[in-house]
Amino acid sequence: MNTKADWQAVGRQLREEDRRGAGEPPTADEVLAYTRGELPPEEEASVRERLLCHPDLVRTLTEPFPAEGAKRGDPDYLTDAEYEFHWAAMQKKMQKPVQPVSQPGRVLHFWRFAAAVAAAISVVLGASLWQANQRLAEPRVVAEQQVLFPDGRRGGGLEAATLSAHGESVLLVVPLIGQNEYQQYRLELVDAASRSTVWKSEPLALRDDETFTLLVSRRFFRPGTYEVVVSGITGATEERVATYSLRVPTPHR
Amino acid sequence: MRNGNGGDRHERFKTLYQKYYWRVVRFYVRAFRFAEEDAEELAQEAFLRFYEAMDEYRGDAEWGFFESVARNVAYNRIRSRKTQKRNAKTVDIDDPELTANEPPAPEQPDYAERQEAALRRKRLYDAISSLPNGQRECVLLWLDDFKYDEIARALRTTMDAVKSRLRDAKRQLRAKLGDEAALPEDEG
Repeated sequence: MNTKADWQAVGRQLREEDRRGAGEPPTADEVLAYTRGELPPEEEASVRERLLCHPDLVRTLTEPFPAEGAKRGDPDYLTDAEYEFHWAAMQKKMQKPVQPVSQPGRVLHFWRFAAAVAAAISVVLGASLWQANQRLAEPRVVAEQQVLFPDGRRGGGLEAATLSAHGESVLLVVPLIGQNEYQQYRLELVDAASRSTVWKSEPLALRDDETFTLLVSRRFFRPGTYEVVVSGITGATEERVATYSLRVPTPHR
Repeated sequence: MRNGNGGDRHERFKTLYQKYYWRVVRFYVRAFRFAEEDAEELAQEAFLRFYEAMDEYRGDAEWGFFESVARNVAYNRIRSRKTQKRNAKTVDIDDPELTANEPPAPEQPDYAERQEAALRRKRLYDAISSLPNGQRECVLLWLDDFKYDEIARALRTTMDAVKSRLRDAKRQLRAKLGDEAALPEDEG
């Protein structure tokens, strides 16, 4: 009749043979990924095989962990004085570099990775912004200046002002004619076809020459007809003062 | 370190440490048979690593997080001992320096008894080896005194699956071994 010792001896022998064939036990990281079910099937089988060769390592995963702590007054509870003693010892250890552990390591690695990516993006964006600012600060030649006249006051003509296709940007000069009684003014660019506002200014004070000047990148405009709408603001009241039509032709290829 | 958020962090840490330090030390001693001195050192290492990463975890998850750190510390310690052993210098078992002062071997059972035991074990060996892999894994863990739920955890399966595999394995072993297959739990 076989005894428990016989069975266990055979079990140990089989394990020993498994160990010889399996190689190194899995690392803590591999085991963590295994227990979380994060491994593809083949790798999972490999980790399991190598882990099961070492029952003492398996026990680190299966042994019941203390679920409840000691309460103040229990013999297990560390007094403040004992804690301070332990804390002092740990502070000494903290002077030494500590190897990362798997679980926090994974989380920290993720956040460090995310932070590194964010930092890299910030650097790139910052550099682009700086470059753009530098370009804005440089003098530029405006290829076209277009003086607009209010609709209905273009010397009887009905044609809207038409932009040429030259240069990166265009200077739009918007003179206010006899409409200087408002506290502030607002300019809007409206797509005439869709009647949608494509740009709107903050409230503006009128200059002495009673003219507003807009520098607009040509890329801002798609071909079509736009209206520059000037509104006058007095207190909470805002009313349309003048409209200036502007045509952007389709560029020739 | 004890000001502002650091102070809050330290208080949380202190509370956990005071409540759990000795329980964690005993966990290491009971579960892995570490000497108490080693267990204390491991517990401190686990708490230290936890302290350094605890801002990543708050609230209910905190103790669960510490558990994984503590298990991880034990795993690494046991694993490093194994790899040290594997890489250790070996000596010849017949080295006269080692055998000179060896005590006499204990009295052995007679040849016939030894032969019979060897045959019995060979039959057990063949029977367990012939089991499907899933059953074999369960049987080996079970022979190492792992409980059903622990086997389930180690194999990442359910307790019902473990029970089913063990039941099938025992049936197969009995079929192969006949009366010899008195399994440990059947010993009475």
